[in-house]
Amino acid sequence: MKITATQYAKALYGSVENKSSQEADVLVENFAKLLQKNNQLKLADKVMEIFSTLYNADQGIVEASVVSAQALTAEARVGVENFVAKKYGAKEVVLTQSVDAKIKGGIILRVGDELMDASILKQLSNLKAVLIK
Amino acid sequence: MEKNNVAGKDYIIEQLKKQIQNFQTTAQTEKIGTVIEVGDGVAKISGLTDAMASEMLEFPGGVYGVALNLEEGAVGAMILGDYTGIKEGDIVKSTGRILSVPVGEMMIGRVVSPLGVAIDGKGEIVSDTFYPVEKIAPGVITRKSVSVPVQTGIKAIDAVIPVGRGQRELIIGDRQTGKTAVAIDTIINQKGQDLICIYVAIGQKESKVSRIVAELEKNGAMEHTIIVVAGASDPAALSFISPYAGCAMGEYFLDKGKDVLIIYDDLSKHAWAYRQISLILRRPPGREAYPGDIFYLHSRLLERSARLNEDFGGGSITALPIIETQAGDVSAYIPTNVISITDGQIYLETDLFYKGIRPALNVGLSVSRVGSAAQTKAMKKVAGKLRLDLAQFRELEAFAQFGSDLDENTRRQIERGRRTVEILKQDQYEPMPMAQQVAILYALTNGFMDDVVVEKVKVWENDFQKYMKSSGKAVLDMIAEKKELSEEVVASLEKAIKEFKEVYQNGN
Repeated sequence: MKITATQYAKALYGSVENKSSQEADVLVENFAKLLQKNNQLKLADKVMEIFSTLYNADQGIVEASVVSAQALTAEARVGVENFVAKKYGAKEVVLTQSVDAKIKGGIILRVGDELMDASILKQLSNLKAVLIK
Repeated sequence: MEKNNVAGKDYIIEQLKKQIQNFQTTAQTEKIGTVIEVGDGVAKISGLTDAMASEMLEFPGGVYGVALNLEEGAVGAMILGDYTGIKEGDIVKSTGRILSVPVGEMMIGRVVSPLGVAIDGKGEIVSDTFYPVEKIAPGVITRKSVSVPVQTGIKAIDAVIPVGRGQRELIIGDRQTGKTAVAIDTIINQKGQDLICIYVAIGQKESKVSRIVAELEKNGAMEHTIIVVAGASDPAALSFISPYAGCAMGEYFLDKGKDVLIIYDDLSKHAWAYRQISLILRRPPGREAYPGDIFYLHSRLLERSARLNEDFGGGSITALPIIETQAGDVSAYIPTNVISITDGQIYLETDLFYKGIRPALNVGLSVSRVGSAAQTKAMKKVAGKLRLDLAQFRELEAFAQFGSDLDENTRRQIERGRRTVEILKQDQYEPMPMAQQVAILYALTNGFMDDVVVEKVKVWENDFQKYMKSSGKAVLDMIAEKKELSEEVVASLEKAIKEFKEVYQNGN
């Protein structure tokens, strides 16, 4: 039977869990060899991706990306992190930032599949839709 | 005046200011996904964790799609509309709504797209009622057996293969055999009656559709008709949903207890559209490259035609699906499927068409599984004899060339058969009311036409109908009202026929 990337990732996570980093190094190397033996090295990227989501879910880490018109101040950044941590019950928030002047102001926050658009651009288009009505 | 104007302006500005002030600035979390693959009207989207089957998805630029494949890690969606602007990496939002179309009385008389948007240039259609495009068919306890006829106005159909309200009668035949003509005549014949018609054009040429619309308008039949168009140039996704959308529009009237007639023109093209979408979605192909659920595709659609009992409103949806065969091959995959789903078929043949028998109905192969349950008593009486005459004629037809060597009885049957075939010929766009049909068929089956030369039968019929419409109007009204051939009706009908024959013979 074909083994899917998810199954590989789960197996890898299960085996490295609660191991020291030296042990984990050996396990990861063995895992790479297994992939090669099964001719499924092409799955490596996907396995890594799924592995990180598994790891994050287990450790309570939430990855979020935020887009703003200007770079966020340290204060605002902490505010966003706290908001995300509260909303998703995360222990730790990994925030990636980017700047897009086109959104005019406010922020667009994306966590996994969920998007919260609190930009001025979006508000303006909402307002436009309401006024046209 | 000037001042007033300024005041008016100020007022408008005030209003706008107020509106803007009251505007709620809220931000909601939305479920999103990213397009990872697009091609030929189908997109593969990663993310969208909570997407539902057949949920509407919003692509950038206001284009909508429908989730069809829910896979691990990705969603396969068909795009309803222009897909050329969609590219990899675009963000797709889920709407939480199942695909639905606007329905209501205001749709009547309009030409709409499968999404319920007006395309006849007569203004926007605003409706606050929406019906889901995919709906499970009414169950057993809600139904009732078919008993009321749909008057198609075509003698051959109303007499030999009657269609009842709530029935599904397939119209099948090669290209150019008059399949659409049968359907259009049926719509025209519903003028001034209580049947709402929906014509669904699936993958049809726009020119054909506009010709049909013009013809219906000319005959005043658009007043009870909705036309749903997925043209040949529209994406396959629209062709795919159009019959379901048309059915949803019909279900609105069904729920109101009304009778609806839906024509799906045609389901072969619908199957092609679904095959295209399925293959691009990489579902495994089966026979003739159709996907495995091609039978369910049509059965779930046609099962939605029903006659509900009084407890559930007593409405009905009658379906006339059309299938185009290739070179008369009824044993191909889609024709056999749809034949087995429907309650009978009207079989049209190229040979008959070119022999001048129009509608080119093969009375032998055509059947209606509902049978005479869906006929008025009057029609039942004349049609029984007619069917017998035709069956005997078909058996003896081969001997017809021996001419004089036949015994008297056989020859009489052959002669009767020939006249019957002549009478069943009927021009397009000339549907005939039930009473007139009964009158002419009564004259035929009771031997009043045996002395008319076969070549003159058509002329005789025309004059007879003219006579009946003027001098015999009382008799026709009596048949139309009583809907049965009681002794009294028979007596006056026979009297009228005899009178006509006298006048006719003296005239010639």
